[in-house]
Amino acid sequence: MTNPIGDIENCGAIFVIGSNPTENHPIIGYRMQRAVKNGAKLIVADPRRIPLAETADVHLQFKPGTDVALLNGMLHVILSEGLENEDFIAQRTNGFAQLKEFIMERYDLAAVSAITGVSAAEIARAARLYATASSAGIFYCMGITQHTCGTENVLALTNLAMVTGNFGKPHAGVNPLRGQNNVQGACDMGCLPHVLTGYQPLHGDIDVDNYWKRMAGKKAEDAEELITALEFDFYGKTPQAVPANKVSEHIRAKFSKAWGVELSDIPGRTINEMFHPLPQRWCKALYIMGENPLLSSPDLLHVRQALESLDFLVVQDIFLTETAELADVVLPASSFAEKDGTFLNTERRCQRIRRAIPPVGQSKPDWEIIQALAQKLNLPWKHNSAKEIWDEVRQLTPHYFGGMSYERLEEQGLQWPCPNEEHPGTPIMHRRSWRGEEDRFARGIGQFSTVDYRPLATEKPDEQYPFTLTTGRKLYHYHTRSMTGRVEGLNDLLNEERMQINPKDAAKLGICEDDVVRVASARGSIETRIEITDLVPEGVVCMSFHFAETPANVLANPAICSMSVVSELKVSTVRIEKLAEKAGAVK
Amino acid sequence: MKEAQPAPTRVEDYRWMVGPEPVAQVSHPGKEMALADGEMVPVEEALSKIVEKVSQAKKPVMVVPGRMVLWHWEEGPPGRAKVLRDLAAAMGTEIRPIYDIRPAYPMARTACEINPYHGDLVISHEKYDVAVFYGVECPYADVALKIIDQGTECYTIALCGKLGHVDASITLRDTGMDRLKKLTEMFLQYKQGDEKKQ
Repeated sequence: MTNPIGDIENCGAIFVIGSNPTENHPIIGYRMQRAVKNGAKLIVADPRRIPLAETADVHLQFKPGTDVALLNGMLHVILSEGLENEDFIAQRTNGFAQLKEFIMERYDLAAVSAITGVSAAEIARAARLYATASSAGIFYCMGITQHTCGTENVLALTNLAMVTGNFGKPHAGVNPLRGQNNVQGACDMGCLPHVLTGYQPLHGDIDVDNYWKRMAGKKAEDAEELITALEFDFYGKTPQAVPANKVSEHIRAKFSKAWGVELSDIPGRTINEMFHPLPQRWCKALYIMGENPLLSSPDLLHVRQALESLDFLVVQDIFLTETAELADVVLPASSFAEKDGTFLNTERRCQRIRRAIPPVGQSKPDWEIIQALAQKLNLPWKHNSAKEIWDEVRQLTPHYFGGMSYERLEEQGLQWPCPNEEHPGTPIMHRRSWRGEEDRFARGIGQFSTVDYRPLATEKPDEQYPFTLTTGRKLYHYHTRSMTGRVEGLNDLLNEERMQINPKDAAKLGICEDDVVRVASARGSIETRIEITDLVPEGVVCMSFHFAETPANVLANPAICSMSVVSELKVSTVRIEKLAEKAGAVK
Repeated sequence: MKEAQPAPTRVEDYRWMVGPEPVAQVSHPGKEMALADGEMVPVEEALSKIVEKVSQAKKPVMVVPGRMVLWHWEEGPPGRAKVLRDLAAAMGTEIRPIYDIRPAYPMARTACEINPYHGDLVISHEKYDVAVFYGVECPYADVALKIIDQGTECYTIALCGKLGHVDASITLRDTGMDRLKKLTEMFLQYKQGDEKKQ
């Protein structure tokens, strides 16, 4: 998030898109409702009538996958009515003229309305509410990112905020809501395949000049001295040279020295690459920590095949998940209550956690397990506490965490960047650049992007698969229920999946409340009960992926965004067949 | 009997083990020439083949760096973006913007960085049968085309502004805006001819 959670209650306007905060981020949802009571205007854009839509000034119920068109349509209104922040644009941004020309030429409201299914009047009203507020915050979640155009969706949102000057000030900003207590921390700590902590790149800079020298030489012996990176070919033959010439040597040298091992500069694989469509590209061994891809990844039948084909699978988790059941070795990790350390939450705030009880049974904190494994591999890792590891993180990542000592964190959480002990942390991003220039974005000048709507970005309903399935989460359960599924009280509140379907669609299919249906996509089929509700529009059905008995991700679309490599979990086309009337337990 | 070499343990150990053909088995096309399905042909012939291949494709796609069509990081991109969009429209393809280099993070001292490679994933999932590359940074394009070639049935066309990419099914070199405009014209003429036939 660019702004702190505490800012929400005093926003002038709140624009929620692709997020269902009252169910998935209840504290933030609660603060949004408080903001409305304080006079904030609330705009909700969601294909479903989510609970927050009930209190919204405008609910834009757009067709799934048409986000870019909707956002560009709002931008068209703002620009054509002169509601942009001219000073902000002039002083802090670049590329506005091109953006304006592009939007005015291509996104008039009639066209946008036809694409999105939202009336021109509603789009205009939302745009005016957002642009004329004293400060306006955008809040989004995976309804924006889990698309094949996820990156473009985010860029379109950023355009809106920059045009209206809603960056670098309180009660505003662009605020992705992270789905877990420490998912921000996982990214910040380098749990991405191509970066180390603080997003320091593992892979090298491309020296194009050297590359061209090499290409011009066309001979292996000439090329040899310029080859500094290697990639294994995918069929396990000889290593292949790849033309990445100049590596970020000092970054890797810094980490290599700290960890006592020479680091490769070859980026790792994303989860989608690990479960590649081609079996010959599957991994031979996997070590999975705190993740349950056998329920959470798209195209589950394919994922199961990939997992079952592994020579060796290690799963480290606090419970025996569906994925762990396939493992050759299960390493028992301890829960949040059994360990010390830090979490980094959605507002970039680093917070201390403290052990309340000793680890149960044979379980250990994750870092102890990883260190024990490293020592078996002859690595000289000798940390004695989570604090020692955190100090190493601070030392290797000073530009983010240098000033976040345990002593300071004991008193209060701090938001990165916090480069030194005197720094107060950064509650609001984009007030000054990384170089310290005032009234600048972190990167310096803000760059507009001309993001175009791609009508082919999603699966389209057709005769064979006439419904659009979108997936979400529910208030009472968390992710794949590896934790919440073990809580009796929560299971009393919600113990099975019910697919939401519009009353008109149910009538057409001749199905009633609680009937069991088979839902099929191009990837597989599952059986589920249904809930008839006008919370979903006609042609759209919605399921959560919480329940192993009704694994919605069997149906989900594994297509990915070209830029972020995130899967299109939010739009899959399906057909629905009636199976039984109010039958017994679903298989 | 030759003694087995111990398995290398460090990246440095691999440095001398350059693959059998670190650049390519096939030469890059010469001036005013192109490489089409392994044959060296005049540019005109290659352009006609591109029109034919893309027009007959079930689901073609144009792969362009995001900076070129979205961010305007380079000189002249608005004009270039328009030419590319016109070409994509004439071809009847969608444009998939990709990162070929990442935005700079000043504190991390990175000028640019190769993204994890996944062009093959996008093509496999979306069932693209012809992919036209333009403007992708050459080192990235070389790797991406190699992976796509090995892992998909996709027919690849590299409209390169430099020396060309031998891992593509068809590659042109020295491709600038004029040639893209010409290609757009050829697609439009092909479509008109097709409509007249019908």
